[in-house]
Amino acid sequence: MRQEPLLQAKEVDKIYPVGGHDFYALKNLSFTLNRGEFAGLIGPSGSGKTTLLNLLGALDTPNRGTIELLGEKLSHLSANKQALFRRLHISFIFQTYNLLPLYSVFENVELPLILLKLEPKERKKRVHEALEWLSLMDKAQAKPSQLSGGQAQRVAIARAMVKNPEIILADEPTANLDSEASHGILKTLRQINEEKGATFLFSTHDDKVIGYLKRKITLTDGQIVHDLSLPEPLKKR
Amino acid sequence: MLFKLALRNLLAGKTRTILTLLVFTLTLLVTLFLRSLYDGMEAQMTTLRLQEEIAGGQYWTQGFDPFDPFSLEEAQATTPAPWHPLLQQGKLYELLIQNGTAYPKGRLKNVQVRGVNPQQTAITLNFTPLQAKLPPGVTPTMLGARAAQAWGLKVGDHFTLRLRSQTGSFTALELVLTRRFHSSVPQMDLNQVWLPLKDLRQAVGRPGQATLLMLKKGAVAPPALAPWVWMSPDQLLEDTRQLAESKRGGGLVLYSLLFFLSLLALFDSQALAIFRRKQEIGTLMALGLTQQRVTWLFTLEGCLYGLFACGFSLLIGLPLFAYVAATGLDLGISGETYGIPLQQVLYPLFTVRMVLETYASVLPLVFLVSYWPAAQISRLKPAEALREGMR
Ligand SMILES: Nc1ncnc2c1ncn2[C@@H]1O[C@H](COP(=O)(O)OP(=O)(O)OP(=O)(O)O)[C@@H](O)[C@H]1O
Ligand SMILES: [Mg+2]
Repeated sequence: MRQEPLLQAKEVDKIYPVGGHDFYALKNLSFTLNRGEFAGLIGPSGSGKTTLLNLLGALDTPNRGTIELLGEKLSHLSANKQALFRRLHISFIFQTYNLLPLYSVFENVELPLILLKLEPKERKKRVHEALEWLSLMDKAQAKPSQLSGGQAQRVAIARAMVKNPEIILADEPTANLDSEASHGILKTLRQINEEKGATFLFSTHDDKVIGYLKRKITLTDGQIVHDLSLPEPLKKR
Repeated sequence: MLFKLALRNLLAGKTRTILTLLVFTLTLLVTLFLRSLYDGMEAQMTTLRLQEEIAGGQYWTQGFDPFDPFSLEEAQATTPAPWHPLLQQGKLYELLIQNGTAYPKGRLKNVQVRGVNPQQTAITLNFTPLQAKLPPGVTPTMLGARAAQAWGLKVGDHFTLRLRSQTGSFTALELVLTRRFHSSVPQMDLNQVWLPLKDLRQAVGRPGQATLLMLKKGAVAPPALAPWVWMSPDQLLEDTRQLAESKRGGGLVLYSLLFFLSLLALFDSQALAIFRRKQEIGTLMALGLTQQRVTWLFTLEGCLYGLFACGFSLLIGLPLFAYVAATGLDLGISGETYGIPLQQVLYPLFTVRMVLETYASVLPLVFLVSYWPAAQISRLKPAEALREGMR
């Protein structure tokens, strides 16, 4: 099961036109992510972590190369098909939480299920389950503005896991959180990975996050310079 | 789902939303009100002219042109024999119109002299005072209040009227004013001297002749017989319609301007919202909403402004307008000032049709103005929206 490839990037270039010339944010980048991994892209600011996550999550398309998720070449899909693919298979966790401010916690978590056209009863069941995982049951009716940063990010995690996606892409999820909240969230994410088998790919330069990773992929100037899988995954801290 | 989200966004809106809604609602209220005034004015002019001038329609002699005094020299004819029963039944009344010169208080006035059957019931003006018993040698006359006022004549005053008979010779009549009547239709009053039909016919030597025939309302109009031409109420009201139309044109300019400003405010709100809410847009796309659906979400939000404004304008407008329509508006002036048939109090006219028409003409524009900025979203890649939204 560990060796089943879920996501593959092959010879990917991402070019941004900057001041009249082409800037390679990613250059001839290839890598594979297997089902069930808990991996992280690490590297200095500007190394291309967010750019890569966006490509892998079909939020953007590469200038060269292919991205394959579940055997489907994302870069060849139309914008609408990509949206559908995200809706079905991909979840994101953002540094800035990105909750809908007018929706309650419950509604924020429910939204992906509405998009999947699930029955209200089924939705309610799954939202409650996700909220329980993240110890948010007492906040179900709260609005995002009434939450602490850690709570808001937990809501975002609930929203990401509620549809049981193939992969959860998390771009610096702890960058805005204090140490305690960060550890709490990282433990929960590892738990979700281990107990529910969800695949994670992070981008981070936070040592706390790095300590939880089972695989560390180091990016520099748009290229992978190290790719280290820990033989013995950390169980406890 | 989109609708719920759009509605929430709108309801959560702050000052800007409220101001935009306010401007929109006011524009709609002003528009509805102005349109009701024009409609009310036309309705009133129409009713007054039908009551006091047009009756159930008229037959005109060929060549008669009320705006051309020279046409009066030729435009007389006798009423055809088949219509005599209608005359006797009081369904048709003859009116003889001649040019004349009046000398009130020694001044010279060119006038239209109208010979009317004092017992006519086709129009609501009461001409029975023309039957007053007077000493021989004087003829009773009636003047509209405006004419009498302008000429400084009171009931009982005498003045001379000079007429040209059919043969071309001039005759003079000594008239005594037996009644000043009130008519809201200036054409029945200004420069009009009313005489009993038989006296006018006799004075100008035109027995049995008339210029126009008034059909009593409700009577069936017989087919026209030459040289008489049937003028339906609709035809006769044409100039009133045109007058109202030209007044509406003035109103249109005003409320087009107001709408322009409202739509501008809406456009501004929309453009700003889309600029400010890039992160939300990116998040919705990341969750799997297509660009089109996000575009629709924002379009819907803009359209809701329009719908809400329509709703508010109804909510505020209904009681307000119902009250004004019932009590009328005292204009402080009347048709006298304008030379159009109007009364002192104007009753604005609100019809479901007018209200719906107003809304129906605004909502497509609201849609366009909402859609236009929102359409830019379809060109935004999710990654760009998220990135730009971070700033
Ligand atoms: N839309 C864009 N236009 C131009 N340049 C861009 C754009 N997006 C990213 N870049 C550039 O591409 C490079 C990689 O950016 P990216 O955001 O992927 O870095 P990152 O590793 O996520 O950095 P950080 O740790 O600061 O988030 C940077 O040099 C950035 O300036
Ligand atoms: Mg980044």
